[in-house]
Amino acid sequence: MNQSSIDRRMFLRSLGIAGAAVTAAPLLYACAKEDAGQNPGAGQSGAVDADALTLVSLYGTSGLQAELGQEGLDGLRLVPEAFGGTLLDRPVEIVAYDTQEAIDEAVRRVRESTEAGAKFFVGGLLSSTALAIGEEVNKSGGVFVTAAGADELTGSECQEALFRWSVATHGAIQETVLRMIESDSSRKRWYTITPDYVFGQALLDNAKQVFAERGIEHVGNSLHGLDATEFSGYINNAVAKKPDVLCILNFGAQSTTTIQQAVAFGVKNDMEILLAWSGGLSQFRALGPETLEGIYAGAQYWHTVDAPGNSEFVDMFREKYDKNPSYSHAAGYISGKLILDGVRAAGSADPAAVVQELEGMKYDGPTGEETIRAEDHQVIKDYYLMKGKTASDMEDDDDLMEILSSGQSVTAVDQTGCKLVPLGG
Amino acid sequence: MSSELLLSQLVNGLGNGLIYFVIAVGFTLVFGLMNFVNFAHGAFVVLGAYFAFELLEREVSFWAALVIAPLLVGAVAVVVERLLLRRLYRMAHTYQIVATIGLAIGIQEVCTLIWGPNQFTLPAPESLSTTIEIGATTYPLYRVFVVVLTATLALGLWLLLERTRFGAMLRAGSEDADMVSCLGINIYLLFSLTFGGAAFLAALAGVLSGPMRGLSPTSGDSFLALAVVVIVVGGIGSYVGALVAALMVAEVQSLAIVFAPAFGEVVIYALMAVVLLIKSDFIVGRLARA
Amino acid sequence: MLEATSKDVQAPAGATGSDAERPARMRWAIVAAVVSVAALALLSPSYSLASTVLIYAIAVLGCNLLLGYTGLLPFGQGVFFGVGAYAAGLSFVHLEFQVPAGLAIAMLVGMVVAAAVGSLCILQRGVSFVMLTFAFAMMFGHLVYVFSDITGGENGLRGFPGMSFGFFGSRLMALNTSQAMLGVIAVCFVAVYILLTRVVRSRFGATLMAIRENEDRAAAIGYNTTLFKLMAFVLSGLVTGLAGGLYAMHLGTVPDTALQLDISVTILIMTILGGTGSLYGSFLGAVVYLLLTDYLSQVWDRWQILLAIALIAIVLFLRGGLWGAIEIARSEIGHRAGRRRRRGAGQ
Repeated sequence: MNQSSIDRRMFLRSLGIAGAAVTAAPLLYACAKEDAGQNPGAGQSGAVDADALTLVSLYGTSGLQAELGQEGLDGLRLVPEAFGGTLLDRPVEIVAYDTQEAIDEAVRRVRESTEAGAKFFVGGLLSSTALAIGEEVNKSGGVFVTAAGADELTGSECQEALFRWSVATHGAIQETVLRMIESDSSRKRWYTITPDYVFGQALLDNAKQVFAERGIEHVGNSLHGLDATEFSGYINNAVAKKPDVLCILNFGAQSTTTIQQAVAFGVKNDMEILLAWSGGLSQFRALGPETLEGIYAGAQYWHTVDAPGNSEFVDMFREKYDKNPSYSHAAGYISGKLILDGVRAAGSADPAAVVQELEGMKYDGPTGEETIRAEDHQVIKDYYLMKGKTASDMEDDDDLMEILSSGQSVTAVDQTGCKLVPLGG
Repeated sequence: MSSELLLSQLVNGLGNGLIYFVIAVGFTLVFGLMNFVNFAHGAFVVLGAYFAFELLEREVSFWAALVIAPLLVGAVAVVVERLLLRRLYRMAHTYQIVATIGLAIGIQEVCTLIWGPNQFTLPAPESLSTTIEIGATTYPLYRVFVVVLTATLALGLWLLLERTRFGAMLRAGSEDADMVSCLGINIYLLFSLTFGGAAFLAALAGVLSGPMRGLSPTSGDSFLALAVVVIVVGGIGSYVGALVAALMVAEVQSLAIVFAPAFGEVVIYALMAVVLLIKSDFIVGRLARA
Repeated sequence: MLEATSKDVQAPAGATGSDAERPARMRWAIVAAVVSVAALALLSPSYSLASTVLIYAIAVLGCNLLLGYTGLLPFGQGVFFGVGAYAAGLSFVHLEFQVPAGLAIAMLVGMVVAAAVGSLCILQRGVSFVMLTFAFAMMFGHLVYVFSDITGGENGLRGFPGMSFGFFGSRLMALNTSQAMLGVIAVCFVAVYILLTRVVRSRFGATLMAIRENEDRAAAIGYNTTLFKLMAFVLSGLVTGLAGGLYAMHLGTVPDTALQLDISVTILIMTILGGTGSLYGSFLGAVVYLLLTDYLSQVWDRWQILLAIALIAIVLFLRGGLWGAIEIARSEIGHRAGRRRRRGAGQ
């Protein structure tokens, strides 16, 4: 036998041992986990301590939504400070699980955390994840606050345990499309670009309703697939129809690409562009001031809004992270804060009591005065219509947009289709 | 539907098709010559865009980045080929696929580690950041530049393959690598150069795509899928096949966008499935008998 | 010099054996399955995770049947998983089926779709076959959004009633705890494991392995290789569909991701990681992948780099995957013991 063959055997042997070790590692980990419960501060996630008042973060901080998930978690981490570290004589703690916005991960973490004594959950970027978490948390009798977009969260799928901070599609369209029509009657012809999601359809249906009510000519709609990265075809379609406004109803990375391509095709010279559902500061930064100039966008939150609930948050955020907060930061922060405000008002950490307090609660939030509607647990808050500033008007790098108008629009209670599923059922 | 719209759609298809060709041609040549399936090909595309991004951040001009970034990716590819992939040539395609999927994941994660998970675009050079009028439609000058560049590149590649010694070696090697080696040609050097060249082209396509659309670490998958569809439709190892198939795939996509937009992304897979089924022995046999 | 041969696929040892040996070997298989499941349930950080592991293990068994035993690289197992999940889910939501009926539907639909898709895919071989499975995986993934009225689109299929175990309306047991669900899933896993062990040790299994070794030769001998490959597909579809149905039951919803390419790739990676050399490797692959992922993802966001290294290392050095490593370790220990014995005897 020659040397290389012996080496190879040794290598294979060591790999075999390594393989066995690798199989043993999870077993060791499982044993270690029994002891790990005492030290929740250590490591990223720690474990749920039944004695503390724990806020469990289910934000996916890796994978496709990584940036937004991390922003949500960063915002949430300000909450313990906001309460001085303790509430009801218990330490306030955050346990974060990176679910990667995968439903199986999220559901599992809810089940495991509940078994360990946790009751309060925050997170949900994707609609499907938020819906699944909401149902699971409701079954286990906890409280969950999310800022995900799907109408169903406070509509056909509403749960007693589930509260939603963000404005839904109806409100978003009212505060952007309707306001633009009201403020300038020459905007008569509109073209829409819609993603073939349930959510996209919801935005489109709301827009069409506004068009019908205001006698707007809906000159065309482009429905595109979920993997689309090339929107020039749809943009060409739009340009050919000569609209006054190009209304972009997709969101996230796709909307960034759509806007960039539209601007590259010189669309700004022929019509106005509205991005109905923006991601706030982080998306505006990605687009940049030149692209954004003159473009209209709807936003859930803006860091310069002058409201006590916002100034408090922004100051804390700037001090800890040395930058301005974006929408997802605010969402993470307020989600956790609402739960603890409920606990404080109820004087107890019993979820049923907390839910009672939260229903109908009026408070100073990041957008001003906000109300949690009791019938569907939808937060009624401002949605902003903004317009991209010219570079010369910008006071600092983040001063990309000016607020044109804001308002609180929400679907009428009897139209939501919501029948709250009782806690635990 | 107006003829101007149709025209601008077809022009779009042309531009996209040429980019698809630049991506796919490297993949098909590597497959044809080395019988090697490289599922990390899409990752090279994205890597090129990331290297260009880094160069542009360091005040390098777009034109320089357009050349340097692909060269860097080509170099990386050659190193990886020598150290790692060379051992895979003898293996069944199954294992080549699995190993290169591992490589693709590795590249994707390293990019995420260095540059973060977010989508980014490359800034187009100032001189090209305007629009021109083609007929009645407004078209970004940058896209016209891409069409011109890729068309020239396609021609240059063709000349390389048909009129140079290197190209002759490549074509001969695709037919019979053993024989070429017996004739005294350093087959492993040929492989390395070809693989590096394929990565160069992929990266170049990535840099060119950068200003046109957003890219992120996970975009590699969609580029790979495109390359796979193109070479299946065009025939493995065929240069002309890759060109024709790339244009066809892009035009089918453009038309689908107009007539059946919700299916725009998936129509290419249906196309690939149909081509594969038609080419299968089963069907070919039936047709031959008919 | 450069011809690729399918013999490089790590082959399970021939295992039909004599009629006398078969009951003994079957007993080992049953014991192995039951003990492994019990160990998993006891040692896993939670019942929920153990359930997920076993669900994927079933799917990996289905994939291994095609990859390890028939020599086909299927890039579209997620299709059968997803349609099984949606079929079960739709029967739960709209027909108020209980779990056994829902799982039966999942298996049935998995079989039918596998027959349809498989019959088209096996018209091609080699890389073209892989591409076809890939194309179907992409197309089916898209269908979720095209038929969003039925599937719920990106929100997932919702509105599940409480899961219960029973037949024709008799609610024998409510499945509303992690333990109860794990019980059902564990039983399914053991059943599938035993079934597939029987299959691969039968003449049918031997034929599949012959096709894997050299399809043309098997055809020349007179086997209808197309039919055998199709049957392998159908069986794989049944098993993978069952996994999908259990997935739906376990989650209480069917997410749109159940039918996307990602699941196909994950199942494939687990199959290769665990080793295509034996059915037990499929269990190992699911366990190690999911437990490691669970642990590593909390520690390092970029843990997938380790996965990438593992895949490359497996292809280069350890094509048998974890099962192969165990076999090597076993044979090394055996050699050592033999050498010591011989040395002792020599003195």
